Formats: sequence, C-alpha cells, structure tokens
Amino acid sequence: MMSRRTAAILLVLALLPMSVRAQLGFAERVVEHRLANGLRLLILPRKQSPTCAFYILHRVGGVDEENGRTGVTHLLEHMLFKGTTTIGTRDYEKEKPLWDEIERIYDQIEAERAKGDRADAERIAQLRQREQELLQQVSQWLIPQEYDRIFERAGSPGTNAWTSNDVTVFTVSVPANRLELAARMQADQRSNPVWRQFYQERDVVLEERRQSVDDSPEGALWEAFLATAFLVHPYRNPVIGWQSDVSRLRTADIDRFFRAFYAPNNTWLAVVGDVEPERVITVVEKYFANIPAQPLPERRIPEEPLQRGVRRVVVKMPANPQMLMGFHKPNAPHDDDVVFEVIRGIFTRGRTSRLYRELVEKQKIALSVAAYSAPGERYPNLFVIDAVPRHPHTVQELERAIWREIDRLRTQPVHEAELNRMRNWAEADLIRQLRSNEGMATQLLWADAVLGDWRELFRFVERVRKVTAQDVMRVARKYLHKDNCTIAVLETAPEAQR
Amino acid sequence: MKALLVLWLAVGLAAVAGALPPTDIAVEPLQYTLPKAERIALPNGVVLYVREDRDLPLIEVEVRLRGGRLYEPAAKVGLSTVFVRAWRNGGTQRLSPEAFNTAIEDMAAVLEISDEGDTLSLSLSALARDWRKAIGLLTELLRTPAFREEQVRLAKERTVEEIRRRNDDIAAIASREFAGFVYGTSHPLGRVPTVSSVQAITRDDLLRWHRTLVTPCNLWVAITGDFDRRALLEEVRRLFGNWRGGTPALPDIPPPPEQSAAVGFISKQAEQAHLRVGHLGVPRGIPDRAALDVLDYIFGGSFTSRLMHEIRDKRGLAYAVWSSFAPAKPRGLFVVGCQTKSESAEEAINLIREQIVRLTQEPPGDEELRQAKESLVNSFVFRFPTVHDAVVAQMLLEIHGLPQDTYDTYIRRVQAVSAQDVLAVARKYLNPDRLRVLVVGDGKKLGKLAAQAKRLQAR
Repeated sequence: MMSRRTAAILLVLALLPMSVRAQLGFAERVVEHRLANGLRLLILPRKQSPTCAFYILHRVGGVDEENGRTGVTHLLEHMLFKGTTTIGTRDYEKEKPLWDEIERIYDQIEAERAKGDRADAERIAQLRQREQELLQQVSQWLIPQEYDRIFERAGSPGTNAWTSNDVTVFTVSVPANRLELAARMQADQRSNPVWRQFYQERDVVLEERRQSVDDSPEGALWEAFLATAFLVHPYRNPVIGWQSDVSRLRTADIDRFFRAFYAPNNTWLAVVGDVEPERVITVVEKYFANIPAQPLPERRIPEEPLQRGVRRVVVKMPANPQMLMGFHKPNAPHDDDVVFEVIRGIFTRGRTSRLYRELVEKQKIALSVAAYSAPGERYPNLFVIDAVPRHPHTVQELERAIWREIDRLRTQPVHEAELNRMRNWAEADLIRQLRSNEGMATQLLWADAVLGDWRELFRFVERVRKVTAQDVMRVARKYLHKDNCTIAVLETAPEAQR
Repeated sequence: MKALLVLWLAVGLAAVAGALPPTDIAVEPLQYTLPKAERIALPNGVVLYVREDRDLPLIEVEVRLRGGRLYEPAAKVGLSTVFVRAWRNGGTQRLSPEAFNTAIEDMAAVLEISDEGDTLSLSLSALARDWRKAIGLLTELLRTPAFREEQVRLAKERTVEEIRRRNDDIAAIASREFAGFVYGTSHPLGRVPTVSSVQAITRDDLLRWHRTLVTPCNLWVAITGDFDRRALLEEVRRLFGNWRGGTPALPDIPPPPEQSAAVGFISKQAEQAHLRVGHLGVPRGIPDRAALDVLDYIFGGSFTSRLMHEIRDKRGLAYAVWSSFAPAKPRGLFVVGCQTKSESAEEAINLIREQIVRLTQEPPGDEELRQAKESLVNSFVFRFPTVHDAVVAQMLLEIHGLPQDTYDTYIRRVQAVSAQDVLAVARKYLNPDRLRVLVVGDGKKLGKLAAQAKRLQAR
C-alpha cells in the first residue's frame, strides 16, 4: 500500500483474522444503509471516547490501471487533497485560466521530452521558466493546504489516504461533534475536486518512489518479486507505478480515472464511533445523495495462467541478503484461503511457531521469518514467506530449511494443540481489533467491498474453527510445491564509495 | 479529581466562498473526561495505577521500571538490548522457555519486554477470562527469570546480526549518526553498540542488572480492563506483597556538550539524500512545553506546517519533511528531517535553515497561531486512544517526576499561548548559529555540498 503520509511499503496482511463471540454484540450493532445513487454506508456505534472515524473506500486500485499508466490511482489519491472549487482557493474562476495555461505548457514539455535524446534542453528550460512565472502568479489565489487545515483545526488528528492493488481508502477521524463537517468536506472532495499543483505533486510521488522502492532494499526486492510471480495479472505492477509511467502522467489521466471509478455506486463509507446511526444516515444523505450514479467501465483483467515451474529473480543492492518465497493460491473468502490463514499462524506466529522455533532458535540460521497473503485480495494472490538469514548462513540454507518444514506440513498432520492455538488467536485478534474506531472502520469497508459482505469478519472465527489437520495437509500438498513457487533473493552488491 | 473539559470552538476559519461553507456547520459542545486511574501504593514500594474498563473482554498490564540503555556501562553498550531479549526469551526458574511461551500463546496472550531509553517496559494483553493465569506468568517472569545460557547467546548473536545490517537502510543511518553528531559518540544518547561491546556481555552481567533494577521500590504497574477490582487487587497483593528490596542507585547522566555549527557527510549509494538539521533539544517537563508544541505545529509537526508548504507543496522537493522536539533525559533532540533527490539537497537545506531563522526573528501571524492552538486543543480527545493509554500516561508522569495535573491543564496552557510566547520559546530553544547538518547520500551527485562537509563514517 502506498500512503500519503508514511513511506513504508506495507506488505498487505490480507485477512486480519476476526470473529466475534455473541456477547460482544458488535455484529448486531452494525447498521447498513444504501443511498439511491448506490453508495453503501456502514455504521458501528461505540461509546469509548467522543470521537468517530469517517472512512471512505472506492473499489479501485492498482489492478484497474492500464499499461503505461501505472500509478494513476495513487497519484489521484494524492491529488484529492489539493482542494476543491471552494476549498484551497480565494477565487477559482481567477486561478482556472492559469492552470489551463500551465497544462498547455506541459503539452509542449512532454512533446519535447518524448523525443528522448533529441529533446531540446534549452526549450524545456524556457518552458519551465514560464511555468514558474505562472505558478508565482497563481499563488495569489491559493489558500495553501486548506483542506487539511480545516480538518486539523476541527480537532482531527489528521486526514490521510492509502492506495493498494485493490482499493483506495480515505481516512479521517474527528471529534464526535464534527460528524457533519467530515461529511461535508468528504462529499465536496469527490464532487468538485480541482487538479491544482499537479506537476509538483507528481514530483512528490517520484520522491516517494525513490524513498520506498529505489533506495529501499525491501521495496526493490518486493517490486521484482511481484513482477516475477505474476506474468500477466496486474498484481505484477507496483501500486506507486513504474518510474517512467508516473513521470509521464498528466491531469487528463487523473481526471479520466476519477470520473470512471469514483462513482457513488463504487463507493463504501464507514462511520465508527460515538454516533447515532439515524443522524449519520441523515447527514450522509444530505451531502452525498446528489452525487449522480454512473455506469462503471468494463474491466477486462487478465487471468494469471497456471505456473509451470519454479521462478527465481535476483536483485543486487548494497545491503545484506534477504529472501521472499511466494506460492499462487486462491483469494478470500475461498475455503482454501482460510486454511492458509491457519498455516500462516502455525508457520510464523509467535515464539511457538514452527519456522521461528526451527530457523531462528534451533538452527540459528534466520534473523527473522514471517508469512502472509499478498499483494491483494480481489484476485488470486500469493502465500508469501519472508525470511532474513543470519550471517554466515545463506539464503540457500534458509530456503532448504523452509522446504523441509513445507515437506513436514505436506506429509504429517499438524497437532491439535497448534490448531487450537490458531482458534484462540482468531478470537483474540477480533477483540483487539475492536479497540480502535479506525481499525474497525477499515475492516468493515474492506470486508464489504472486497470480500462482498462485512459479515465475513464475524464468520471468520467459525471458519477457522472448522479447519482440520487433513485440510492443512491437503492444501499444503496442492499449493506448496516447487512448480508453483517464485523465489526472490536480495544479493549484496559492493557499495560505490564516493 | 475528574477533569471535565468542554471543547467548543465555534470561531471561524477563513471564509470559504460558495455553498455550504464548512465553518457554518453548527457544532455542539463536546464533553470529554480524561479517564483517571486509582493510585495504590503497596507497603513494599510497588505503585499500582488501576482502572476498570468493561468495554471489551480484555485485561492489559504495563509494568515500568526506571532503567534502560541510558544507564548501560560504557564498556558494555548493548547490554540493555540483550537484557530485555534474554529476559523475555530465557524462561523462568520454574518453566523452560518453550513451556513459558506455550503457556502464554495458548491463551492468545501477548507479553513483550522492551527498552524505552530510560525505562524498561513489560506489557501484557490477555483475554479477561485468563486474567489470573496471565498476571501470574507475568509476575513469575518479572521476579524469577532464568536467563538461560542458550537464550543469552541467541540474544547476543541476534544483536550482532542487527549491527551487521544497520547500515543497509539509509534512513536508519541518518537518524543514528545524527544523534552521534549532536550528542557526541561517547555520550549515552549518541553512542551505539559494537560487535565487541556486545560480545563482552555475560550472563552474570544480565543477572546482576536484573538484581539491581527489578525491586519493588522501582516498580510501577498499570492495569486496565474487564476485571473485578477487589479480586484483582487481592491477587496483585498476593503476588507482590511478600517482596522486599531497596531503591536501585542509577548512575547520573552527564549533560551532553553543546556543539558548534558543522556540516557532516556520510557516503551511501542512493538516489536520494537524507538530511538532518538540528541541535540539542529540551529535557522532559519544561514549563513552556505548550508554547513549544504550538511552535512545532506551525514549523514542521503537522501536515499544514511551514516546512510542508515550502518544501513539499510548493516545490515538490520531498515526500517527507518533518520536525521534532521530543524531550528526553537529560536532553532531547531538536531535529528536522527530509529526504530529497541528491540534486535538490542543498536547496532543501537552505529552505530549512531559512525557516528556522524566521522562527527566531518574528512571531507567527494571528491566523497561523489560531490554527495551531485550535488544532492542539480540539484534537486532545485523540491523545489517548484507549483507557489503557490514558492510565499508562498518568503513571509515566510519576515515573518521570512530572506534575500529576500535566494533562488536566494542557488545554488551558495551550489556550494561553501568545504569538510573543512562541517567539520567546523559539529564541530560547533554537539557535541558528549552532545548527548541525548531516547529509547522507551519494557524494558524486551531491557535489560541493559533500566535498565541503566534514567526512563522517556510518558506525
């Protein structure tokens, strides 16, 4: 996921296991509502503090991008914070012609850049000079960062957003008495956005890419890993976009994408916290009902063909070795995915897990090891094992040891005690998840928009409970084998001393 | 005493043209009560902060002790890191590491020990139905850990591996080496463990460190969650009551020397340069903290700060730029961080310097000041996301020797801050003539910025 504020590439932990015991009563308290334009609203009242999370999800992510325009979803997410026709401006009518002129300058800059080596650098410099003059001129009409300013001043600890391969989520929490402000601001954000300062923001995203991919051993390895594991499915593309794609994006790309995918009938809204559901419905109707529904574009997303043999990729950087192993598998809520959640726990959760005990403590060949589903959940994904070797041991030794543990899983039933531990974790995870409005809002949106029903959160514990040792063996045999495996290794390259 | 804060700020923002200005939306007053803990001192010195919280079927415990890496002997830097790992993983006198971990994880409980600089933290989260067993295991690990040799070796080897890897990440180099550049590489806040300092650590060192620090007089315990207060206190008295011990003598930490202005450069192959600009900061508990928080918000501590505006929004030079005035014992750090492509490093440094100078030359404008104060006041309800967070924060006030009403008076103190107060703290705590600048990146691309800087090595 790429987020507006934090640079880390989060390895998407797919289904944070959840369930609920009847006495918690949370499932019964969720209120559903659908606006006439298709917007889906989920409300969970809880009174722990006088605050509420007001989260919006659009079911659009990296998978919906076309080749050559990767990164458009994420850059659009950034642009939504640049204000509207009334927020961030003293007079939109005055600034608009100046932005239009900057756009025409970029038509010329991009045409020149497209000539590659034959581009006229002097001409580009002149055009940029003209752009600077226009930016200077337009600044008199701008109210910088006003969208953020209004929220922060109302007591919000900040408004933010993140983009993943599957979805785009806008997050804000406000004191409970600012519910209407949150609705009014977020409705305006998706009704009247203005793409001001687009080329500055494009540069910001290119910096974000340098920081989180190009200069990051984990980020660079992750990018190569996905591009190897997926040959045709768009999960192969980085959410932040390939460098050359991002550097050529234009406002027209953003605008087209916004109009295609931010329709209310592709939007989910969750409000969790100290709120009255009837009042939430009234307020959301008031501000969102007049955004018109529209047909969504046809999405023809290629299916990943069956993998026929192990794939390996090496990334060389001036850093110590690490490795990723990935196995194609079905996405949630497929039954086999639940079994993988159990396998993930048995393999790497806590100090009693198999890989931790075997690789970190007994053989002492690993510094750390983790497992998770990635990079998304709308389409078949990967079961990933992420391991860091301990000097002088190598990734090859680590790989051999992991295969031995996989073999054990394929040939011997897991212990009942291990399954029981996973059942307890599933229950406790849910309860801990409920500690925050923000966590709960994210889970509700994600389950409803991606898994098809928010109730999947509460079904999950029952489904984990039913997983047997035989299920684990069957699933391990079916998916955890060499021909279905991609291995990415970070090798140490000497550092250029300058 | 319960603090009842009424947060109601109806004052407007800059007027917005068009329909439905956000400022015209009516705002009901908000009532917020900071959840207060009951403080109970046991006769042997253990101090409890307790509060029932029936929202979820959980119990959460936070044990704190004075201690931590600040107090490590100079010859054994890394001792505290190895100590907390071997403590957590080494089992108890009764239970092997494996048996202990199985007991914890079979309940889906989480128990971790961490070094927080000048305190040590043991934190436990368990389902309410397991509260008695979970607290029993926590107390067993607290009072009778085993530090088994095998786990001591593992903790040391892990720490050595982390030393081997610590220069892989350019951001980590910048943060660590900036602390060394400002505090000096031999001060406890500036030094770092080495392979030999970690290898010098023995199991006896860890046992002695435990005997020294873990006494009832050096123990604070916060407990919140879904339990019966009476039954809980009875159990806690049973577990802790028979324990005797004196107050540990922790070494005095000398104040770090004031440094003069300097620019340092560390070579690291990268697209971006990582920049740090700053100097020594503030200790905990300064009287004008509220004014400094206002200054930080305006300067670089928020999404709408001057630094964000100048460096990110206006010029697209960086994804991340921020400031921090985090307090620490004996002195915190004032630091601005930024990462930008090598070619714009010098421009970014100049902009940062310019903004620091500006803080010391002129008070903030009325609108800027109002924005900062209202934001700090209105967001106070988010300061402690859970009851547990609020209770731990109150306990830490006592451990750090800060006034117990710190949070009760916070809003009032922010509201009282004037533009002149902000200028005054800028002049008191910022010194543009003593700024230290650290640049980590590719020397060739950085050109004269790197060539003219003092060459430093990443440790």
